[in-house]
Amino acid sequence: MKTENFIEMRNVWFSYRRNGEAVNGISFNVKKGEIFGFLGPNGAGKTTTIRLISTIFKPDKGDLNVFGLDSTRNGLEIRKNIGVVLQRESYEYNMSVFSNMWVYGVMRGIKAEELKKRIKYLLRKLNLWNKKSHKMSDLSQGQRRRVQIARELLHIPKLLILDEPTIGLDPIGKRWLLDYFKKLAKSGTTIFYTTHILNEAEYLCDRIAIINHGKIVKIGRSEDLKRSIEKKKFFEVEVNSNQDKLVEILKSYNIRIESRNGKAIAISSNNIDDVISALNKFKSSAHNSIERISSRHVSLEDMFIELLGDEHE
Amino acid sequence: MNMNRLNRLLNLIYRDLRIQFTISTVAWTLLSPIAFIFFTGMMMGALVQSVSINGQSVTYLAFLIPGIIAEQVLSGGLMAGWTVVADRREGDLEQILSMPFTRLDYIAAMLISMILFTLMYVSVVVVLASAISAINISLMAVLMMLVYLVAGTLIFGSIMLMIVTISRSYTAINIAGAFIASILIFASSVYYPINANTPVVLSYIAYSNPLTYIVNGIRQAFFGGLDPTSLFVMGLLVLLSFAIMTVVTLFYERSKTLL
Repeated sequence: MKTENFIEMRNVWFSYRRNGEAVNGISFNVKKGEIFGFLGPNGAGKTTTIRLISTIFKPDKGDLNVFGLDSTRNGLEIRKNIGVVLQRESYEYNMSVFSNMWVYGVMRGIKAEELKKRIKYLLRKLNLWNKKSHKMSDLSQGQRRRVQIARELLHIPKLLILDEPTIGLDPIGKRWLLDYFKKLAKSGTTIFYTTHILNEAEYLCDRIAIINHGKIVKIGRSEDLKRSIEKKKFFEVEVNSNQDKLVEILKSYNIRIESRNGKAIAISSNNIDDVISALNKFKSSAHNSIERISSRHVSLEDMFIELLGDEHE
Repeated sequence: MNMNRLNRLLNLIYRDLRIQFTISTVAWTLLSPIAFIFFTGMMMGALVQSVSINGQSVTYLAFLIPGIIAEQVLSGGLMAGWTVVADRREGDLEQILSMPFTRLDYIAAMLISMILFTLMYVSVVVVLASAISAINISLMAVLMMLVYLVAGTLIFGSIMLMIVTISRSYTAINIAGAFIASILIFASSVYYPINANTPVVLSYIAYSNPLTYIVNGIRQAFFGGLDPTSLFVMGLLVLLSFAIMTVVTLFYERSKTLL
């Protein structure tokens, strides 16, 4: 595998017969060894893209190469070297953790001795060795997810594809998993990571593509993407009363209301003077008081909302 | 078949059997023919003293045994379809297709697993029936029965695989499966002979039903042996099974989404 790009998509299209276009001419590359984040709201085309990369589906149009191989003609060869952690867990409820791993290892054609070693190694790495005899149905969702990940690492894949793997996990479980993916990438595994949770992508990924309605709307390093909207300033204003009045004044100055949460109103604007003027006007009208103003850093979430927010509404 | 494909098939068959051959499945598989032979055989046997096959008069139980075997061949085929539905619902199908297997590997392994499953059930029926002296079975009869078993599972399995691909609703598939099964079973010679007393319309339906030929073929194997007519019918069933399986395979290979 000499190619530098593990995934190369060039103007790829795919549609479902019943539901119409799912992927509309997307193009991107994933480099060997990187963690590539694929972000988008629900129904944006993330899972379809995974199905295309894992060669379950063939593109209607366009070129898709994985490991430098044409996906339409080399599906079997490509699938030997990938692990796919799907959103649906697909495990056998009544079998033990070890047996589940064993069946998948046999399906992958791993010899018995090697398989025993790999299962032991992976279950230990993923803190599951003490659960090896437990039935899958007796595990927590986070533990089951870790078994699913361990299962997809049995054959030491060169490319690991993860479809929203942290859904349903608690914050500690999430962070543990993200750190494990980081370690995995350091050891040489390329990771294609889809999510709609932006701080995960920000924490984990080297580069990020944002997809919406089957189209890539932005692609780049997380920092670069944030910088593209950095001229915009973000504030949080807290007032005890007359929030509606404040919102009305802010809107009259073309200041964007990002969110409202109780007393707090999150706003953004390119012009800081407008913000000061609007707040002064609010203060002077009927002696309103402002409890607190704070500015905050641009997050990937801000950029996401900036790009997709209006469309979503 | 190259080694790679053979390995892939064996690996998938291992998965199917490992998942489906649980202690409870085996227990029910052993209990079910015992109950069937006992209840249906005894109850109906009390009503129908004897039935004529190829001019021989045999007990109703002896008449019924090939019917029970053929019915299980049909059930094995239907089970292949339901297993695909379960695999699709649980996400197993998508997971398997993301591994180094083709769609053909998947359906071939599924059908072979069902043949093995049916074989287990049929073995119990045959051993039990022989033990209570309902039938005397020869090696030729076993070989003929195996051909019918394989051809029948492929025919009914393929039909069911087609239905589950076309229909997306779990309930619709269940109802369709039960409906087709009851038509095939009752419009055939599983429980009663098709003869001059059978209404004409029903006899037409029965003779267009592959299950009739499978039941009659197994009865012929037990009570007559191999003759040119049964050899011809057997050949036709084998051809039909491969034709249907080819159509289903092409359908699966060309299906755009399948999941």
